[in-house]
Amino acid sequence: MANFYNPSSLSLHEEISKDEKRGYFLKDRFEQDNELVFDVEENTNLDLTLVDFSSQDVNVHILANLKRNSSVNIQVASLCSQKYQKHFQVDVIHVQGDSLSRTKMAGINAGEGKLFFLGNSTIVNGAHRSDTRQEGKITNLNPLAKSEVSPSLLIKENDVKASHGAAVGAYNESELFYLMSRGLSLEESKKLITYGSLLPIIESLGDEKLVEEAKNSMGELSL
Amino acid sequence: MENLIIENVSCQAEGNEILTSCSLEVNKGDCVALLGPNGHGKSTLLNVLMGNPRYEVTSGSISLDGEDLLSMSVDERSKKGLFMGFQNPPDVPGVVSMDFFRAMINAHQDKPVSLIKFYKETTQAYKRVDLNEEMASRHLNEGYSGGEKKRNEILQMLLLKPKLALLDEIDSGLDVDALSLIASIINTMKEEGTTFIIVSHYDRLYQLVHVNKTAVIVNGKVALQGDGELANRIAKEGYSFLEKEYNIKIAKNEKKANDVSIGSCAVKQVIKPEQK
Ligand SMILES: Nc1ncnc2c1ncn2[C@@H]1O[C@H](COP(=O)(O)OP(=O)(O)OP(=O)(O)O)[C@@H](O)[C@H]1O
Ligand SMILES: [Mg+2]
Repeated sequence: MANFYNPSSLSLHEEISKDEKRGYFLKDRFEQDNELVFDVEENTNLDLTLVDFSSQDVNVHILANLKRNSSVNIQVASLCSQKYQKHFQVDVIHVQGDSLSRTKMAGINAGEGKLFFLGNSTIVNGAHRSDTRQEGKITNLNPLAKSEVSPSLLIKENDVKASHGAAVGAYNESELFYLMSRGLSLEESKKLITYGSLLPIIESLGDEKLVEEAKNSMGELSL
Repeated sequence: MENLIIENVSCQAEGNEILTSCSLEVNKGDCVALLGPNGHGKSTLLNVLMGNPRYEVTSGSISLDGEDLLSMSVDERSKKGLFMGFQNPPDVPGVVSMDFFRAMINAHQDKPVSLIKFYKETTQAYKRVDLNEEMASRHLNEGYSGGEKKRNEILQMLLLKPKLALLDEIDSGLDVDALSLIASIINTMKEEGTTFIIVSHYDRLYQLVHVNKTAVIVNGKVALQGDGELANRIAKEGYSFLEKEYNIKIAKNEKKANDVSIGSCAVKQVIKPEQK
C-alpha cells in the first residue's frame, strides 16, 4: 500500500495498469482545488482511500474511468470542523463492460461549515454487466452544520447493477436508545456511532499511527 | 431487585395517549407473562420502563426497590440491573459488535474487563445462543436474520446478567430448537436470581419457562391479572372471554381503526370507538 501523508497537492492524471492500493491522509496546507483522474486499464483493480482531517477549505474531485473487467473501490472519510467548506466529488465512468465500482463516503460535520459529498456513477452505452454502488453518510453534530449527500446514477444499459444510498442527519434516536439501554452513557454512545462511521475507512489505510491520529482528532470533538 | 411498582402510569407519543393509568407490581423471582392484543401497549410499557425518550410519561410513578425509576437516565437504569430485549432491535451500522459488547460490559463495572476474560465470556455466550462467533466482528445487527437478531439480544442478556429482564416477543421468528434453547437460558437465569417480564403471543415459551403471573394489557392498562394458567387460557381461547367474564371491553385503537379489519387481529369482540 502506498500511503501519502499530508501531500501538498493531489492533482494528477494517471493510468493504472496493475493492481494498486493507495491512501491519502490530508492534514494541513495543501492546495485547495485538486483533481485526481485515474484511467483504470483492463483487468486491473484500484483501491483508493482518502482521509481528510484538515483544517482548511477543501475541494477534491476524483474521476475514475473503468475499462473492461476493471474495478475500483473508493473510500472517503472527512471531518469538517469550524466554518470550513469541503466539497468532495467522486465520479466513476464505466467506459467498458464487466467493470465494478464501489464508492463509500463518510463524514462528520462538527462545526457550522459545509460538507458536501457529490458523485455521479455513469454506465455508458455498451458497458454491459457493469456494477456500481455508491453510498454516503454525514453525521451533523451541530445544528448549524450544512451538509449534503447527493449521489446520482446515469445508466445507459439494462443488464447492469446500480444502487446508491445517502443519509444526512443528526444521531438516530433508536440507535442511541439501544446503546444506552445497555449501560453506555449518551456521550459514549454518540462516540461509538460517530467513530464507527469513519474508523473502518481510516483503518483501511493499514497504518496504526494514522488510525491513532484520527482517533485523537475525533476524541477532541465535543459531541 | 426486590420489587418494581408501576402506579397509574399514563404516557403519550407523538400526541397519542398510549398507556392510561397503567399499574402493575412485580416481585423478585417473578416470571411474568405480559399479554394483550396487538397495539394495546405491551411494548410501550417495556419501553417506558427502559426509558425510551419517544414516550413521554404524563402521570404516575414507577419505583424500583423504592427508587424513582422515571428520574433515571436510560444508562442508569441499565446499571441498576434493567435489561430490555427489543422486539425490533435496530441496525447500528459502523459499530462493531465486539467493540460494543466490551463498552457495554465496562459500563457495568468499575475496572475495565481484561481482554482474556472478555473473550472467554463472549465465546461462551455465542456458544450458548448457538450463533457463530465470527458475527462478533460484524456490525451490530446489520444484515442479521430475524432469528439471529433475537439470539443476539439473548446473548447480550447473558453478558450483562440483569436483575430484571424485559423480553419483548423474543420468541417470534425463532425456530423450535432456538425456542427451547432460549427457554433453558431463561430458566437458568431465573435460578440465578433474575426476574422476568416476558411479552409473547404464544403459550409455548410461557409453558417452557413456567410463568407464575399473568398481566393482560388492554387499551393501555393492565386490565386483568392472574396466575400462570391465565396466560395458557388466553393462548388457547384468545381474548373474547375477557368481555364475557370480566366485562373488559377491547376497544380498537382509533388510529388503526380505518385500515385494520376485525378479522386480522386477535380481537374477537370490538367496540368501535365513537367518532370525534
Ligand atoms: N412512538 C410512537 N408514536 C406514536 N404511536 C405509537 C408509538 N409507539 C407505539 N405507538 C402506538 O401505540 C399503540 C401501542 O403500541 P405497542 O407497540 O405498545 O403495542 P403492542 O401491545 O406491543 O403490540 P404488538 O403485539 O403488535 O407488538 C399502537 O397503537 C401504536 O401504534
Ligand atoms: Mg409489541
